[in-house]
Amino acid sequence: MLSSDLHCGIVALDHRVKFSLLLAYSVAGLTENALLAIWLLVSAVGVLILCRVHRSPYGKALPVLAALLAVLFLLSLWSDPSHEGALKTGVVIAKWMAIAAICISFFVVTRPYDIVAGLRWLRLPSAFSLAVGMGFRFLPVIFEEMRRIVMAQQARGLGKEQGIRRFTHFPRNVAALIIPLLVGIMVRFDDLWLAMRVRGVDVASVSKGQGFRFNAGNLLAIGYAIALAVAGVVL
Amino acid sequence: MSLSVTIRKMTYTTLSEGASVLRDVHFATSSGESVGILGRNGCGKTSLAYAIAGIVPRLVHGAVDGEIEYRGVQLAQSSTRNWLTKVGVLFQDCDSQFFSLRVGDEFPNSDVVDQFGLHDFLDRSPSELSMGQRQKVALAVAVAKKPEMLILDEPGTTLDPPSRRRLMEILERLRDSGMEMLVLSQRQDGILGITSRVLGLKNGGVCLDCPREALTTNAVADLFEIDVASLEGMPPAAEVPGSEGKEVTLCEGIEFWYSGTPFRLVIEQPLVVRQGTVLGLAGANGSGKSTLLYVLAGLLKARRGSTFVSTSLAKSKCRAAIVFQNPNHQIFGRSLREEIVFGLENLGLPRQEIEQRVAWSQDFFELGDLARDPHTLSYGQRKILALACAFVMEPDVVLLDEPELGLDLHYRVAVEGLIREWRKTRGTSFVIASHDLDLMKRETQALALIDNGKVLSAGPTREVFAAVCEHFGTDEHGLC
Repeated sequence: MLSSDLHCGIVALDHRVKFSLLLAYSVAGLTENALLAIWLLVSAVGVLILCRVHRSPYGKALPVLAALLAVLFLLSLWSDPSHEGALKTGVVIAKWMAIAAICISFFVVTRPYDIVAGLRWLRLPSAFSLAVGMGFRFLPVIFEEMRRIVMAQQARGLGKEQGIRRFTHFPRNVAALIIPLLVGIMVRFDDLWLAMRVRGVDVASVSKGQGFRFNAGNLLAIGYAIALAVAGVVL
Repeated sequence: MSLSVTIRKMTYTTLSEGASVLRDVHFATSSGESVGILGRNGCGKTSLAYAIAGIVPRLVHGAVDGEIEYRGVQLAQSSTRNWLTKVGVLFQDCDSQFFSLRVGDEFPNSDVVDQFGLHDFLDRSPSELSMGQRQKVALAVAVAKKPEMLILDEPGTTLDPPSRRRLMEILERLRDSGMEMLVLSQRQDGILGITSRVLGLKNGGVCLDCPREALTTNAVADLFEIDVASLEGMPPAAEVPGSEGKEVTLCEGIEFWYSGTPFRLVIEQPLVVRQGTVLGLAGANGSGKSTLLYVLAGLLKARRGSTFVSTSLAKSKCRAAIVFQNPNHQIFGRSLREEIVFGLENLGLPRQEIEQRVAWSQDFFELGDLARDPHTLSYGQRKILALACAFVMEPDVVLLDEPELGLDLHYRVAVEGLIREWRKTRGTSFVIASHDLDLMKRETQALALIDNGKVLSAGPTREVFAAVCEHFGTDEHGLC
């Protein structure tokens, strides 16, 4: 019940507040302080869960991201196995994970209209805002395209070999996937770009005229963002 | 009456191929008029719509000559932004209409959510919806920005009869409220009924312009390059003798569900198709027809139970080929040839055999230049390519998901003829999932009515068809 209320609260935050939180986490990411880095990670994972990222198309990307960071951590340990080196690497990895988690959460709970409007609020050019607004779909598009192409290829007999051929044909199957995947992603981005332009997302007229609502949620979140940014600079 | 859209001597040439898609197009529509544009696959309907919407050449590059005017304002003198606030577009492939992860995020305001009854979909991802549900959402999305003119590219084709009736009602209301409409269609009936005037497009030019009521059978037959007799209806396939042979069990006791959704596909009784016959799967949008076909093809693994056909090369199973509802989900090659050859090479056929089959498909499906990039084809042409890719593999069972979706009358007649011929001469079995009750009545020998993932009734078409019509609340032609 509480998590549901908190989820609704986060979704309902003003898009400018969400942007401020994103910026605050990025600024706080400058810290070298281990405690703050741990707080960033813990709070970002909490936000990730409350935003129900695991149920979104981004959910599939989380294990990949975690595995990538774990590999980076191990590689770093291998190059500098000292206690100090491990701590340093741990802080960096924690910050990266926190920022990645908060970015993904942001994209999951913010409408594309609001992402573009928020960037325009930051006085960024329209084309750039549109590109970032589209970028939020990047990971899901890759997963959707991959699934689509694998299914289409399997429908014509690829990748369903039995026994030992399953392994011997694996490189061939992967090779057959790569180029169609790249082409497919390009085509999907063309479609997305067209869909956004046709619907006037770059105008972002919806959010433009909205005034800021001074409710408890927005004010608390703004306060937290300021505190986090200050802590990141001071510590 | 004042003019709405005016097009003067417009020619459109694509940049990618340098081909003239539209040639010397010249017409005008009156204010408040709803116009239908009728024509074969690839005749330039979508390009014309894109040009009127200002998408071509501003957002999709190409060379456009001539003038396009809307209510006295020339496109060349208006910004894309201003132009696109006046015109709403429903794309033929409604997947191209979405950019959000959640249906609710697609709407800048909630007015249309009530109007279209979309509350159940708001928290779902567009990719989780069935094609019919997606088209409904896509239309709502196009209407949401309150355009003065609505361009509808093949609306309602993926909808079941009751949803199509509701769509008609919504469109009629919008039309009566003063919204102008341009309806692109490959058939002379159905949604085209909301228009008062029809333009026929052939080889990129306007060859027909008449009030809809004055549209004659001869004119339609000429436009689609078919016999008048074919247009008036093929005889039911049951009258065509097929090599009806042994029974092929498709699946038994299967259960499937998508993680995180309440939907359950549960088919307890064995689903059987007799060799050389057609089994039809009827059901509303989202009832589980496509999912069942995917499970049968082995593309989705049943969580319980067994399937006995597969698109894989497993010798233990009957070999199947599947045609997806949306051809864009099936096309991945860089040329038409690569697309067709892909499956044949997986079959391990000798080169000579491959070449023979490629030549047959090129000839039968009128594919033209095989070096063409499939991404430059129209939606309907991609569907034809997807059909060619499936038939060319000469499977024992062909699984067809809305096979007529996106096809013009010419290809519909050809594909139905091919199904009948293969049934008769090769004993090929077909499983067809479709909303087209006319097609079901004509081509199937057995029918299964699916509702919410379960088979409500199954049996010979002559026995089950009435129950299907009753389920949809329609007459035997699918009319409500």
